[in-house]
Amino acid sequence: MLQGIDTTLVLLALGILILVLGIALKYGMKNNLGLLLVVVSIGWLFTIGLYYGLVSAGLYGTAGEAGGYVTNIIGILLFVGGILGILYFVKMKGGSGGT
Amino acid sequence: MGESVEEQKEMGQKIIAIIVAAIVIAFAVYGTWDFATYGFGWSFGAFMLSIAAIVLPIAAILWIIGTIIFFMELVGYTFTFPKFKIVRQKIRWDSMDIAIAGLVAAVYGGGLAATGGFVIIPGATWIRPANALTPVFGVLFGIPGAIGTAIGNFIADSLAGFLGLGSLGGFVGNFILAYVPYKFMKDHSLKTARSWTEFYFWGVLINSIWCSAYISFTLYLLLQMGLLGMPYEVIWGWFFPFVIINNAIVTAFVSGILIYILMPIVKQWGLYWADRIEILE
Repeated sequence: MLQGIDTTLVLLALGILILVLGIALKYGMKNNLGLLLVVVSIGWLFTIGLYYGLVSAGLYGTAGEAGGYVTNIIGILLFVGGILGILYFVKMKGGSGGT
Repeated sequence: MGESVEEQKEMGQKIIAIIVAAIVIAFAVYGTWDFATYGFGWSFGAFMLSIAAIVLPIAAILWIIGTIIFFMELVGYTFTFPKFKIVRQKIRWDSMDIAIAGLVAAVYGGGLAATGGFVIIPGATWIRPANALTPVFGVLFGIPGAIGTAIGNFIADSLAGFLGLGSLGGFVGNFILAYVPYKFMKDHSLKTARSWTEFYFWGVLINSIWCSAYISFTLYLLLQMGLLGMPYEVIWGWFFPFVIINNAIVTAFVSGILIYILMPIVKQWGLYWADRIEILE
């Protein structure tokens, strides 16, 4: 029954479901857990967006030499960006834990 | 006299720490050497496949427990350990926690994708030195770190060309990889012999096995539903043992040192999970 389905569409639908649930919890029920689900869904949908972007550029599944190391370079940029983001966030918060 | 008993106790804990660390490191090094020498003709994989009938029900139990814990933690409940009791916990999920989860996802996902071309099992996994970061994020940042780790693995699956329904298993499996040392280690400081014993047991061995069992059982379920082309023998003889070794070898040598160095800095910055979480009995 499940054979032949587009698995990426299933993942996309799940991402949208988590986003809707997160928005409903955050803004409908004023529950901070909603914010977490929104963040998860943003990461989730970002991933699906990356997938479609890489597919359309002909780069999906070509990590390493086969793809000219493009996805590896994106990975390195994300890694460095994440570390700089942590440092920037700590500096912005004054290094004393935000509440 | 009392001091001497205390000294003896301390010495005993140091000996236990050395023995546990030596066993776990030997296991990880042997697995790596075995794979590097014989590839998928390795004896570790053949052994795992030979006991797959025993491993399968254990993996099923770990999968069920892992899934329950994942959703429990998401909705604000946790359990106490070693005395089991379900309690509510209050994580603020303020800008700090959200930023931690997002930035951990970027660092971990990017770190994994950086080595994306070194494929070991096509469609399933690759050499992942960034796995060393998972216990670090769990121990330092707690649940936000574990959530970030889960998202990061998902991003890396897309960049490395492995995105599929199996990524759902990878999502929770990587959460577990960070969660187990966070939850089960009593002393996160790595300044005592007991802390190092706990780290090697929970943060290198058990989390690697649990993560691998979780993802492998997800793949097995997908295979049963006709949604995966990977054969049973590849899941339990290749994928399951390889993911254990792939995690254990880097965490055994790198993660402990990183936690030891970063713990005081993270505490000073006010990011340490224990300073930000509230357990409601």
